[in-house]
Amino acid sequence: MSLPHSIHELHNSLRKKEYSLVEMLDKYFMTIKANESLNAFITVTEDYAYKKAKFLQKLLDQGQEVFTQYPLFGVAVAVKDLYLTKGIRTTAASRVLENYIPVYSSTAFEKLEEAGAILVGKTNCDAWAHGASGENSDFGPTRNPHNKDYVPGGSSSGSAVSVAAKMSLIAMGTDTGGSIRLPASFCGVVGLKPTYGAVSRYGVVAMASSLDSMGHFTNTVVDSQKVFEITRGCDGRDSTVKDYKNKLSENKKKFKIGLPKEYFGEGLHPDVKEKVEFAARRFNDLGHEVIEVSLPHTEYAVAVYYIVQTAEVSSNLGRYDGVRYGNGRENFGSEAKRRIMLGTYVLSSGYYDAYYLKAMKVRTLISSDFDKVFESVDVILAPVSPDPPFKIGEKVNNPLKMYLSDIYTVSANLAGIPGISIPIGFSSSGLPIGAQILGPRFGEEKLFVLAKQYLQE
Amino acid sequence: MDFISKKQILHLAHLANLEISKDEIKSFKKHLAEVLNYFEKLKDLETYNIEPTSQTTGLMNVYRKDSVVSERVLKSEEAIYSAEKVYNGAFVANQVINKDL
Repeated sequence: MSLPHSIHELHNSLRKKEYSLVEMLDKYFMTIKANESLNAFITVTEDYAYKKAKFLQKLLDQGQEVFTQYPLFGVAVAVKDLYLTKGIRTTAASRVLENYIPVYSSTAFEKLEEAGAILVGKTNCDAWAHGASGENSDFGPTRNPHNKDYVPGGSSSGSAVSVAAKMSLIAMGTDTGGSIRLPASFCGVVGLKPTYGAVSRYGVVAMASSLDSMGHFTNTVVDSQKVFEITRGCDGRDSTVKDYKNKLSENKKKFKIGLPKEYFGEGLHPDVKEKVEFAARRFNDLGHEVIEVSLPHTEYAVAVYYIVQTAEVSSNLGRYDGVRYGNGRENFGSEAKRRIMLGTYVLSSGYYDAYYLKAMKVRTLISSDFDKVFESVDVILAPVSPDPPFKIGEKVNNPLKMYLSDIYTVSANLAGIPGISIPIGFSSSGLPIGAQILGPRFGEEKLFVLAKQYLQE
Repeated sequence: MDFISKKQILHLAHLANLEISKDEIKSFKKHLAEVLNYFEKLKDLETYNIEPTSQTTGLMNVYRKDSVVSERVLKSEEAIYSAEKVYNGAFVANQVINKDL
């Protein structure tokens, strides 16, 4: 048997009884074992998975209408180890939580479970989601399945690798400053960062509360949309979540796509530039209008992001004292400490106005850049990372250089807008390159329509 | 800002309740100064009349019904389940008030 590429394919195979759910899981766990060197998983949940598979298989064998009742029936899901899973260890890839077993589950995970998905494991990531490469994990770096010497992108590194290497069909990640779009682009899969407030953050280890967005990895855009329809919506447990319907006219065929000129300047690797420009021409060929737009405050985004984010990180990580759960603060790794220190600095007396307040004001300017652009175009097409995947160790000793990897992704989080990363080609060293389509707040529908067209789904 | 002193680093570590090693003092001095220097570019922008943004959804005053949903309440044994030190069904916390006072 070969493992499915999409939910549709899985359901077809199950309908035709090409394999049972247990046989499917055997294959997934074999693949996980064979790819151990990628270090994509912190915990593999075989017992949980087989139990759930047997339960679901019974329903299927009884001839119940399982595929409408459970839209994610039998879908093997890997979940970033930031999502709480009741009774299953959740570490945030940090030694602080290495033995933490939560007594409740995150909303997103509960919704996937109710929709019939089967958890195969908890994935590795940069500890507390702090990183752009997957190297900051206290459980060792994750490796790129296309070439093990290269990083898979971070922070949701293991989740992207899991989908790319067929260790699960879908995977959940979190995107605070690019942590879904970046690894999706480095691993050649589809990654969705929903609008801030679309998916509940309840039960997910908080990084930066005004920026954290819960999203996922899939092979196809159709699946991305399916998973989004499951995970989105109010749960009464996260007061920032909004219920909304995407209003997109059925007749809309021609879209206006903006290329922000600030994203194509100095610092953009020629391989990435070439592929994104090619993608723009392809959208043009598909009948859309591609025009140049300007997001004039782009050059300030990384500075604003690393002030707001570290401030919120220092506050969110303040709760870990080893009293109620987890180990003591001496277990924080270097990057977490660096961010806590930086955040403490920008919030401390005498510096608050100069850094934090200033950053919140410039955030307004960055956000209104997008609002203005979306008055004249439907979506924005842009590179995800300035560089193709880089080698493990290449940027690890230079935090500022690593922070600058986020230059094209953080603005979407500051503005709270959605973005989807789709694979558009390979670098000269044979590693995947992605492009992101960004849309207005609560405008995911546009992203799905265009991404599907591009990938010919 | 092109310099951050060892004293400042230790003060920040104290505020953040972190223990840091000698090596970390050295590397944080360098890294924090570099990053803070990078932040200086924000000073180029005039923001006097700009309102700060702290959220992006535009939602305000989101309330829930003032009631207890029993299935959401943790039992005391669940609440202390992950704690390392427990005494009589309660968490054991560090002493924060000096006994002699």
